[in-house]
Amino acid sequence: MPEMSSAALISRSSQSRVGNKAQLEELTICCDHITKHFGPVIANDSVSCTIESGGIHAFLGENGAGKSTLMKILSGYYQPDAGSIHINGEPVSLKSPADARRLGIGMVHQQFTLVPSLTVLENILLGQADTPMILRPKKQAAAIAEKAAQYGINLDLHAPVSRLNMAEKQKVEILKLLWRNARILILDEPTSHLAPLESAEILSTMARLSMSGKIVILITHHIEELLKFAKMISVLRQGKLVANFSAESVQAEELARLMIGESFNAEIDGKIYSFETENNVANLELRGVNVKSSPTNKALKDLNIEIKSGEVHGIAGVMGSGQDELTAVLSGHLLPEKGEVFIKGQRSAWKDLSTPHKSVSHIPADAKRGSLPNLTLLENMLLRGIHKQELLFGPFIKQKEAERMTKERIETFDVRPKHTFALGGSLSGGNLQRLILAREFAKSAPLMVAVNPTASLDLAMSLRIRKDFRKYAADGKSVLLISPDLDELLKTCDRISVMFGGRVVGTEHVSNLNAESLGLLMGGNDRAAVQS
Amino acid sequence: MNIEIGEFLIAVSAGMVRSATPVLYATLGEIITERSGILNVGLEGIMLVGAFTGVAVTYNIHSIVLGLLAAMLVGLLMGLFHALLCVHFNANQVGTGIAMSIFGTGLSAYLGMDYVGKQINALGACKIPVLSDLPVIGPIFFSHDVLVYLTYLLVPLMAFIINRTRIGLTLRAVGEEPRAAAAAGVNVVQTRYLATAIGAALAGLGGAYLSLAYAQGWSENIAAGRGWIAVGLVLFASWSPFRALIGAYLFGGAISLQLRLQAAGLDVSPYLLGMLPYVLVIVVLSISTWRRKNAPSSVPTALGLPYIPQV
Repeated sequence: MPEMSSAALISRSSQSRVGNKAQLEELTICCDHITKHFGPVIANDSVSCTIESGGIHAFLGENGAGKSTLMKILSGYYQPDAGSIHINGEPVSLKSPADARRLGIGMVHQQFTLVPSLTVLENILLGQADTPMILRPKKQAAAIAEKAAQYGINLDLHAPVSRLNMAEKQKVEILKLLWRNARILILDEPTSHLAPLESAEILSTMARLSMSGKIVILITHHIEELLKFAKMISVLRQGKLVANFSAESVQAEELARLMIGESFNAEIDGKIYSFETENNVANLELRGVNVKSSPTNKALKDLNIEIKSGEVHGIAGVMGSGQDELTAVLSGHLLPEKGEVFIKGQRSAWKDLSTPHKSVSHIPADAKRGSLPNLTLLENMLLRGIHKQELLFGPFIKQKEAERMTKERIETFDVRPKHTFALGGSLSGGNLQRLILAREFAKSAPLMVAVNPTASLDLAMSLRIRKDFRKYAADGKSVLLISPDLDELLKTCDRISVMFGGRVVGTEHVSNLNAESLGLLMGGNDRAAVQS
Repeated sequence: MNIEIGEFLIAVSAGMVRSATPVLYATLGEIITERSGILNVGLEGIMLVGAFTGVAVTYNIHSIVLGLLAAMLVGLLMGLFHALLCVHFNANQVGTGIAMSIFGTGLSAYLGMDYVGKQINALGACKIPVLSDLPVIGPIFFSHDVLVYLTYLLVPLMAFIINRTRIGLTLRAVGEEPRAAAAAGVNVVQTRYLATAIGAALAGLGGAYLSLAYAQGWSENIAAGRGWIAVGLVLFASWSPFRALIGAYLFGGAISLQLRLQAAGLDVSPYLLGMLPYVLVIVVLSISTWRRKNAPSSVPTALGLPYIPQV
């Protein structure tokens, strides 16, 4: 207590003040038999639930379970075909997002709605009815900062949004709602692009908000996160509310079963392989690779990694430990200053992008960077497969063959919509990711580099992709899996290398590792210290 | 000798301010338009129609104020038409703008045939007392007409509106990220209509300045590419009103200098001298828009892109 700064004390006391007020006004929002059809598809089938303040209420479900539809009804984007909504017992009519805004309902969408070139302050003031005609940056910043401190949000209000990281952008969105006096906050997958620490920070901020009398609704498919931070959990499956319970009374496995339904098989979540590749040849070898991030700073320092054929090799590490640069080197976007890269024992002399295209499959962290929005799914599929001779007749593309191949892959990876002529830009994040997975898996290059491949996928698909990685490696190929999800690494990989400050600080067989020891290595502690 | 050079330079500089004014109005207008994400390359046509309207109204009604207002109104209507095509129908903004230029050039030439060489009551100089008596600065900046003085106010005012008011914030957000602006509750369509209309009205005023104050009469193609120059100067200015002032003065200075050199009987073809201002703009533009690698760009992100609301 004595080392606590006075600022922290102030923010703490203002929090308790908010807490007291909350006890006076309890808030509930009630959905009563909400039904919504899109053509023949039922998105919400008579969903009834009561959501209260005093703890995060989470909606769990696979893609297409109807979570987003329900939330869009709550925030006025869609009108239900049947059913009604009540706030504190009063029926309300939500005909437009503006109606919802007036009633204090605000939503943070998966795609941020911030203007990058404007400052945080300007983004908060933008479009706000009571923003004065002449801006007074200092005065308004002070008022907003006070509000932010009240809820324990810490932000540089004068920084341009383009310079913020994902977690900070998320906080700007939340602060924007708070500044508009939202009392019901809906967050759509707020943590899907955050590192574990950032997620925890955002979620504890949200928990604090919900304790101060606001309703906080979270949409997610990340079960572990929920169990830690949510108070109530509702599970949706195929448009129906299948369960509703308090987070303390439920187990992860039960949630997964409820969410996925009949086909859920716990087996795939367990380990399905053993490490027998010790004597195999190396598919990828990096020797003393150096990459500069600026004239004085090195992003990669004498990096050594060896990946055997038949191996799924994980890379763990806090964000910015050199993972981005490693990916860039392997995908040919960055030439190392020093050091050598061997693929299947061949020293690679990559001068341009064409060589890595043939020998490396690459699943980028952001599916948008691996696809082109104005090309059709067929063309997107051909982007990196065009060198395949069976699809070409001289310089021409065999349209029918390509069509057949694309249809087949779209079917296997359940990309929606299922038209080969849909534009890449029309796909949701999860579907775009499936498209890229479909393309890269079909390439069957000796090395697959996957960066956070399951972040935008639902649980069933994530489990399947992890299994697919194992199958891919079983063919004598290799997978390099870079992921912030330690659970995923531990359940998918043979060995895991931990990166810290641009180096590999340790490579270990998974059977010798657990989440705690990985966490310690990621923090820069050396191996001896961890083992002792 | 030195006094003569001094007087020559003062005369060139005073001419610079006058020659810069029509381009400056058009450039300032285009900055407003482009800040909202709409590209209007039809300035040349709008300036010409504005110049003609100014002369026609002033000649027939004998009111220079009404002439200027009519020119602005016609510019405003042309801007609204451009906005209708680009905002409402999502037309290609470059194509629409070029069509607008060609249309304005032809229309003003056709309607203006009867007005070539007609005498009008031109906008006269109005020296500002005290300030115009200052040495050097007085004759250069404070011995002109009202519309020149108006630019001295307009430039800082516009910078203030863009950077420090709610309207400016809305304008910038709409030009940068219209979807985000709409999500925050801004009316993107309305903002773009207004910005395009106001921008074109200023271009119309710039055109009227050409015929009513600068050349003091109508002649075919009186704008002589100034509308195109204004589009270029917006790039030079990186969408900032103060830098637009500098750009316009560079161009105006070159025009003024070549006119004085011609008058002084320099033995160079007047056609070559006439090219000078345009060559200068090309050179300055190439140098000023050359960026260091990775330097941030100040182009409004959504410039030239249609806004299609998300469902």
